[in-house]
Amino acid sequence: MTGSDDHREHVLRAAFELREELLAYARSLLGNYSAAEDAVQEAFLIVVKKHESFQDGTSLLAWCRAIVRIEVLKAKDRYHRDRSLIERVLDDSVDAAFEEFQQSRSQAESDRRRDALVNCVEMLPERAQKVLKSRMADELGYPQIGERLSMSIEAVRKSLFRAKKQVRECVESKLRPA
Amino acid sequence: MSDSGKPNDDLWNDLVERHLRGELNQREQEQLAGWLDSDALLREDFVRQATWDTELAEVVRAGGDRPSEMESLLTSDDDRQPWRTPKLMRAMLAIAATTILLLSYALLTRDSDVNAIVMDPSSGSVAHITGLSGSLIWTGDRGELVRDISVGTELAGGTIEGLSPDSWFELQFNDGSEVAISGASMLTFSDDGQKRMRLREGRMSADVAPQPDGNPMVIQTRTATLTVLGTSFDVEAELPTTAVSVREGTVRVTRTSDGKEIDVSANHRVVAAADQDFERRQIASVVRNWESRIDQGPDETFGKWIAATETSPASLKAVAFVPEQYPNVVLYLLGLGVRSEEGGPVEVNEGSRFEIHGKIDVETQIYFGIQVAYASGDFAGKFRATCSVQRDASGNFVARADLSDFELDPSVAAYKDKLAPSPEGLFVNGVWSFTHSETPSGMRISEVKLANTESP
Repeated sequence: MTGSDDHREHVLRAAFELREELLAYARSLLGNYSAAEDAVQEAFLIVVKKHESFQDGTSLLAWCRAIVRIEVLKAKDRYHRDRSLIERVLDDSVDAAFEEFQQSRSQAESDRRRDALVNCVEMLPERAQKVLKSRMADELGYPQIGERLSMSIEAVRKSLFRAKKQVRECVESKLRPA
Repeated sequence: MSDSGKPNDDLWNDLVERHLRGELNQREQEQLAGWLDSDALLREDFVRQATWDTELAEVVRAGGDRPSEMESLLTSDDDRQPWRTPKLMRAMLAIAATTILLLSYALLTRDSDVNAIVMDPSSGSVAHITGLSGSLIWTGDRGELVRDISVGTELAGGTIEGLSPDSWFELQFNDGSEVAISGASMLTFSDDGQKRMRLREGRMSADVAPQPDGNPMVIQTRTATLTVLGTSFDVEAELPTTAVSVREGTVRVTRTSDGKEIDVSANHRVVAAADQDFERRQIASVVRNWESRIDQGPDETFGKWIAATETSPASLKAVAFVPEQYPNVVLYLLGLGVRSEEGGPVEVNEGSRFEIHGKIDVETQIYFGIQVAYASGDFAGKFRATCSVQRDASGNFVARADLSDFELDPSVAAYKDKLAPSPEGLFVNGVWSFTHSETPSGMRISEVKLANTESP
C-alpha cells in the first residue's frame, strides 16, 4: 500500500467516524433524512477524491462539513431552485451554530451511545415505538401518524416528545459513570 | 414565548423537531433564524438536538452496525468506492465511474470558471463588483464557492465574505445603490425587485438610491432589521449588537429582541442590543486620539483573544493567515475595528502617531496597517507602515508608526488613481498588524494608541 493509499484510508476511516455528525448537519440544512443521507454519501465520494487536500492537524470535521455543505447546496438546487432569502438566512444561522458548537465523538463513545439507544428504544411501550418509527423511519407528519394509529394530532405530538424524552433519560442513565 | 423573547421549551423543541423534517413555514423559519442568531445557548441546544435526533433516527431506521459497513468499504475490491446504503448501492454501482469523473471535473473547474458560474445569464445579474482587495470568498446562490472574483464581475445574489481585517469589497446594484463591506465581514444579498441583505457580522457602508414605493431595502443583522428608502449610512454588526450611523436621510431600525422601532435621521446613531438602551444619539464630533479596548473582549477583532491574567494584560494574538494572492506565504495577522467610545469618527492628520504595545517571540519586522474612509463613509484606501520597534529581552515591545510612514498598501495598488494619495485628513475604521517570519512570531498586542502630537 502506498503512502497515498494510507492517507486515503486514514482520512476516509476518520471521516466515516464522523458520519452521524455530518448527517445531523446535513439534516439541519435539508430538513429531510434521506436527502441528507445522500448528500453525506456524495460528500464521502469527494473525501475519497480529495483526501490529499486535507491537512493533518486541522479539523477533519470542519473540512468534511464544508464538503457536505456544497453537496447540500447542490441538492437544494436540484429540488428547490428558487430559495427565498429567509431560507438562505436560516441556512447561514444553522451553519454558524454547527461551526460554533458541533464536536466530534470518538468511535468508542458513538458505539456506546448506539448500544444504549438500541436498548432504550426496545424498552419503550409498543405504541410509543410505533409513533417513533412512523416519525423517524417513515418520516410521516403528525396528521398521517394520527391517522395510522388512530390518535389526535396533539396526542401524536405528546407521545412523540414523551417517547424521545424517555429514551434520552434512559440513555443518559446507562452512560452515566457508575 | 417567554417575557425575555426566548421561546419556551415546548415551542423551541417543537420548532427544532419540525425543522429537521422540513415542516416549518416561512414565518417559523424566520423565527428560528432569529433565535439562533441572537442566543448562543439556543444555538448550542439546536446542534445538540439535531445530533440527538439524528442518532435516534439512525437507530430507529436501521438499528445500525456501522463498523461492518466501514469494513466493507475499506476492504472491498473496488476500494475507491465509499460505503453506500443498500438501496443506493445498486444505482451507485452503475453510475459510480461517471459520477467520480464528473465530480472531479467539477472540483477542478470550480475555482477557475468564475465568469461562467457567476455570470450565468439565467441567474439574472442584479449587481456588479466595483472594487475589492484582500482575501474574499464569494458563495453564489447555488452554493458555488468562488475566490477568484474581480472588478466588473456581474453577480446574481449570494454571500460575500471578507476573510481578513484588510478585506474590502464594494458592489453596485443595477439602480446605482452602492454597498461596501470591510474587514472580516459577511454579507448576503438578493434583489428580486426588493433589495434584501443579511449582514451576519462586520462592517458595511451603503449609499442607497431612492427605492421603489413599498419595496424598501431591508438589511437584517443578528440583532436588528434596517429599513431603508434611500440614504447613506454605516452598519457595524457584532454578535450581541448592531450599531447604525446615518449620514444622510433616514433609516428605520427595528430591534429584534423586542420589536421596538426607531427612525434614525442624519448625523445620528443607534445601537440595537437586547441589554442596552435603545435610543437615538447624535453622532459625536471628530476625535483625533483613540485607544483600543482589547481588555473588554474580542468584539470587532481578528486573531485569538486572550484574557488578562495576574501578570499579563488581555491581548490579541496574531493567527496564521495565507493571503489568497500568495498561497505559499504564511503571515501572522491580527486586526481590530476603530471607533471612539461615543461613536464619532477617528481622524488622522499630519501629527498622528500610532503606538502598539505587545509581546513577540522572535525578532522580526512588525508591519502595521490602517483602513481609512472619507467623511461620506466611502472606502478611501488601505495604508501600511513598517514600524520602528523597541523590544526588551523578554519580548515585550513598543512599535511606533507616524502618519508619514504610511504608504498605500500593495494589495490596493491597482486602484491607486481612485483612492486617496495619503491617509491624512481621513477617518480610520480599522487597524491590523502582521509579521512575516519563517517561524510563528507569537505576536500579541495588548494596546494600540492613536495620539496626535499637534492637538490634545
